Formats: sequence, C-alpha cells, structure tokens
Amino acid sequence: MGVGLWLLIALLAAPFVNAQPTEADLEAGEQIYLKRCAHCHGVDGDGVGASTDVVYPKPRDFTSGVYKFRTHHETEEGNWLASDADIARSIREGLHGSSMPGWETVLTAQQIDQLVHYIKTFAEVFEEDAPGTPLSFANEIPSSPESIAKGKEIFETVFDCQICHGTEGRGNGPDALAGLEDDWGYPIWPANLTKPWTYRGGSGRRDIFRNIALGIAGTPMPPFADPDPMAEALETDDPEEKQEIEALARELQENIWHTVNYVQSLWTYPQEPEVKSSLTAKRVEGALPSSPDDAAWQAADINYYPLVGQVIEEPRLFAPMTVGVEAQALHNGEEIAFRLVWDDRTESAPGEDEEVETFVDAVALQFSSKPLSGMEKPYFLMGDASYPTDLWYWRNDPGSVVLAQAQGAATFQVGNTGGGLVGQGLHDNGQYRVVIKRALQTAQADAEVQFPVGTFIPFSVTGWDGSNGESGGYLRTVMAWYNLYLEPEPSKAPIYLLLAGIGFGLIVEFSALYVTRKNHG
Amino acid sequence: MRLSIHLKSLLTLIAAIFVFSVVVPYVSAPIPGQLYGWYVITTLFVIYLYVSSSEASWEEFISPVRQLLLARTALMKPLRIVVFIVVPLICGWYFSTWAAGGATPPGGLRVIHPTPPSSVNFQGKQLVLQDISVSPIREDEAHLAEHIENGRIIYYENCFFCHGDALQGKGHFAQGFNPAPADFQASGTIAQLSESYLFWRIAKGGPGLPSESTPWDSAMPIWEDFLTEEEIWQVIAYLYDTTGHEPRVMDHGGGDHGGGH
Repeated sequence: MGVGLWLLIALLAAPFVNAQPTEADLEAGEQIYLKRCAHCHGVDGDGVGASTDVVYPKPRDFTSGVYKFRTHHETEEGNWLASDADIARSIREGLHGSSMPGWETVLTAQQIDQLVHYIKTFAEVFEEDAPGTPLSFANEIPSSPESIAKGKEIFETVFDCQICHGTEGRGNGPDALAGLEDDWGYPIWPANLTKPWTYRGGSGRRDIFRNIALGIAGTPMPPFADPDPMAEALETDDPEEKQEIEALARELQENIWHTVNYVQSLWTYPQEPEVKSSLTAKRVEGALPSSPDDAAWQAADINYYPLVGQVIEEPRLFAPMTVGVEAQALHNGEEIAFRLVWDDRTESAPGEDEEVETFVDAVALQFSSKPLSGMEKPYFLMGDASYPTDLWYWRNDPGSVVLAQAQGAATFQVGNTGGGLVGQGLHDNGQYRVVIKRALQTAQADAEVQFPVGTFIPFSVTGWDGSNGESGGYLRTVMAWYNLYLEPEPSKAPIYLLLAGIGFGLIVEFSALYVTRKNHG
Repeated sequence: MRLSIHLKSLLTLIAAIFVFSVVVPYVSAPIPGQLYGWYVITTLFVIYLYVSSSEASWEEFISPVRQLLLARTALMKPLRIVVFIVVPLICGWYFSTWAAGGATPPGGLRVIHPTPPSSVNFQGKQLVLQDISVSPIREDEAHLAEHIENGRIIYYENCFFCHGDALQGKGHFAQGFNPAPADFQASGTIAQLSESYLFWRIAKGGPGLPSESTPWDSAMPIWEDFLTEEEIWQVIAYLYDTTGHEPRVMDHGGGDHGGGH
C-alpha cells in the first residue's frame, strides 16, 4: 500500500516535474536563442537587436513577459500569461504579416520547447505565477446568414469593434485614426480584418474567437470574456445563481462565435492570392467606365499583387503600410481603362501631423516608355537612361492624374503633363479605388507606351501612403513587372478550325474504313 | 493472369502521365507545357513500338478496331455510327480550343548563375576575382568567429527582408519580387558557387547582371553602395557558416572546382 501510494504520487507529479526544464534544456535554449533570435529580440531579450529599427511591428520585448496570444484566462493575481504551448505555437507558426517567421521548418519540436523555457527566464512573472484556467471554445455556432447578421450587430453595438476596426473591417475606425499605441508607446494599427493572411495569431475560427475572448496582450485590443465568466459559477453553492451565471457565460460564448462568423464574412480572400503572371484586359463594346464604382467593372478580371517596401535603393522604405493592390483592366479597341483598389486606413493630408512629415496619397501604373523587342525591359524601379518608364501618376488632391516619365528613381518628378490621361478616384472607408484611362495609341509612338491588342505588355504598380512618410522616387511600395494582355477582337478562326477538325476526323475514319474493307471485307 | 494488350498499354500511359505530372514536380519542378507534350508523344510512340513488335500482338491490338469498322454484328452497327460522329466532333473541338488558347506570355529562359567577370571595380579599387581563391577574411583565422558574428548583424540589418530568417529566400518582402530571392539552404545556390562569385553578385546586385539574366527584373540591391569590402566578405562567411554549405574553391587556373576542400 505504502509503495503504491508513493508510486501514484510520483506518477501524478511526473508531468509537472517534466515541465520544469533542466539546466541542459536552458543551455540548449540559450544557444538556439543566440543563433536564431537575438538579432531581432536582443541578446538580453529586451526586443532591441540589429533589425529592431527596420521592422514593423517591433520585435517582442521578452522581459515584459507579455505575449500577444494566450489561451488561458487572467490569473488570480491579475496576470495575462501565455502557456508554454501558446508561446511554442507563436514560434512554430510565426506571426503572420510581421517579420517573425514560422520556425517549424528550421527547429525541431524539442528545440522549440527549449527555446520557450529559455525566453521565459527573461521575465520574472513566469517564476511567480502560472497561466489561469484554459479558455473554453464551447457552444460554437456554424456560419449562416442569420449568424453573420447577428455577428454584425454585436460587432457594431455590443463589442463596439468598429470603433477601431471600422465598419467594413479595414482597421480604420475613429479611434484607430486618432492614433493608438501599444504598451511600449509604439504606434499600432488595428488589424485589417478583410485580409486574414495578415492576422498575426492566425485566422482559424478558434484564433479569432481567442482574440475576441482574451484580447491581444500589450495592444489596445481588449478581452471580452476575461476574467473567466464561469469562475463565479464554481464558487457559488446556490444552484439558481449558478445556472444564471452559466447561462450568461453561454450567451457570451455564442455572441463571440456570431462575431467570428461576421469577421470571416469580411474576408476579401481566404488566404493571400497567388500572383498570376498576366492580367487580361477584356475587350468590351462602347464607352469604358470612368467611375471606379461603375458596375461594368464586375465583368473585368481581378488580379491581386503584393506591394512591398522599396528596400533596394537608398533611402529605403522598411515599414510599408500597404500590403497589396487589386488591378483590373478593360479596353474597347480605342481606349484602355485600369482600375486599382488598395486599402489605406488614412486619407493623408500634408501637414496633418507635427511629428511625421505627411504627403498626399498616390498610386502609379508603370510601363516602358519605348516599344520593347526581345526580352529586355526597363529596370523595374523606374527604368534608366536607355530604358525610361511612363508613370501614370494619380494623386488624391483632389484626384488628378498626370504622366511622369522617369529614367531611374532619382529622376522621378511629378509635373503637370496630362499625357492624355483621364482619372477618377476616391477614398472610401479605408480603401482607395481609382480609374485611369487613355487612348491605346498616341502620336508619340516611340516615347510613350502603346497598347497593341493581342500582345503582352509589361506593367507594374507603385504606391505612396502619405501618412507613412512615403513620397518621391524612393519611399514607396513596389511590385515586380507582370504582363498585361489586351484581348484581341474575337476572330472567326475558331469556327473554321472547328470545321477543319471535323473534316480531319472524317477523313481519318473513312480512310481506315476503306483500308479495312479492302483487306478484310 | 494475363493482362490484355490494351490494358497493358493503358496502364503504361497512365503510369507515365503520373510520373510526368506528379512525381517529377514533387522531386524537382513542374515540366514546362511543350516539353510535357513531347514526353507524352514519346511514351505513345514507345507503346506503338511495343504493340507492333510482333504480328500477333499487333493483330490483338488492332482487332477490336477492325471489328468496329467492319461492323458485322448487330451491336457494332449503331456503335460505329456513334463513333463516326463523336470522333470528328472531338477533333473539331480540339482544333478550335487549341487555336483560341494560343496566347502565351513571353517567357525567355533566364540564366540563374551567369559567368562572372574576371575582375570587378569595387568602390574604385580593382579586384581580380580569379585571383581570390578564398575569402580574405578566412586567412584571419583568429578573428573568423568575430567576422561571422558581424556578418550576422549585417544580414539582419540588410538581407533578411527578402532572404529570410531561415535563409530560404522567404523573407517578409520576398513575395513582392520576381524572380524570387535566392534560397541559400538549397543545393543549387551558394553550395555550387565560390566566395568570389558571391562577392560579385552582392557587390554589383541585380543591375550588374548580364542581360541573359534579366537585370531589369532582379530586386538585388547594389550592395557596393551600402557596405564595405570587409562587410561583404563577413556576410558571405555568415551565409556559409549558417547553412553549413562549403564554398567552391577556385584554383589559380581560374576554373571552378567542386568538392570544397
């Protein structure tokens, strides 16, 4: 009996003993940390490393003990603590849309555990306290039009999400525009809920539920179900009171699930779209749409392109705020029209901020100024002296479009040459939508881009977010060259080819029949 | 059990298509469209050679077709009519869609590792690449660890945006560029190159590429404008140290010799 009892105690205690890292684990964790993590998070874990100044969001300061993502409620001491599994997941999968990559391709599960133990030693709170009760994901409500409608109501009136995330979820609510800061005093923007691949903690249904229920520690995102709404039910002996608390807790869970369903309904794409190598400009009859909200655009193909900071020539843009642009094009044999759509939380006005110099928001389509033969193209960053580029530059003041020609970023200058361009654009609830039109052919065929139908023409898009200090030839978001293809006039060739194919089939068949009958018939 | 010659041919064709469209893309890269077509045609030709290798096998292969064409049974007569209508329609459909889908974007072959120049002018100083068999900082063995450590800092201040923390070319800006940033962990990049080759590629960047390597598309900066000669050697040492690859060593004859040691 005595031995059995001791064995039982030893077995029960085993998981806790194992959870305590050995000296060897901590040492291994330190070695991995110095090799893989210290250049961003700092040798002392304070978030100050070689790349701290050139990334947004900033690397985590581990001495704070604050981790964005946790699946445990507030502790009795009032601490928000991530569990080992929570921290391990952030290391394994990375923080999406930030410069923290997923390490699962590089480190083993054991190495990640060692790392977790090591980085916890930077903060005393992990010695003094342990994570609270685990978050319950019960009472899940599957998505349906009714639940989404309910979720929208809760989003706007109960949880008041739009105050930061905006009514269409682009992270442009009034509090966001007034300026938010994280716990370290760095400026921070609420997530753009329409782009799930940028959700730092993942875009699974439980990830969204977790963020609403427990908030995001260190940021202005508050918890809506913390402390544990069930905690009081465990303490009371009155069955009626207990039932009441449980009913309230269930209602809260259901409300969060409705909100999860609404948030998912805001997604423009479920994941970052793959870049297609060609954008097709469909041929349409009659006048091309001038307005970006014209219904005619629904017929046009939409290609998504990531936009990234110009980090190639000095001065470099390390922390862009724009993540991508959607491009569409239509032509009618005479004219071509482009529609560009991108999310920008702020409609920047020069001089609006005393600390950061602000410029006007702008976008440009880029083409080769000269006709191209063979594979040669202008340098994708505004060309050079032998291969200049045309930039169809639209700026939001109050929406003028001009032609700028550049021979490299240093020469980029916006004048007032119209170049036959017509543009119209608007900033609406955290999103820009712009249309730029021009004739397919111009008089200066050798010095301005021309658009022969049925051919592939290299194009790219570049953007300027004025309130992020972006302007000029260098500080801007860029994209690689991709192809634009102008759909040719529908030809009658397919009908002739159809007939030729049928004829070919018949000839083969009757020849075979003739030969077979002759030899075997 | 003996498989019929038709089943054998069909299984061979399915197996070949499986290899071309699943196995090959899995182990290396997808086969380009035109080449894929030639592979399938070659497979069909091999099957034809097999079935026509003897009189008996050819007879076995062709007899159902012959029975259909001669249509001597009540079942075969309507079947022949159906086949004679369907086959020309398939031909017609194939011909017309083939013509409609004729527009393919230009995609010239890009030389990934072009021949390096024999020397480069680095910030006004002439460096004869052929004479640099190993990185000069490797000769300073006592301080090699410090050089590598400095290389790490340079990497994280400048390179990781595109080439990534894991040195796999998957940094947070990588998706914006085409061609994609180099994957240093892969066997086809720095593992096959000498340190002086890397020096040239880093110092002169995308715009320093010859035209067969599409310099206008490359997002690689001209690092000569940002880093010193020693800093470039340091970051090169960091790349080899972290990936575990060995640089190729050039002898004074100028040629590349594999093996590293």
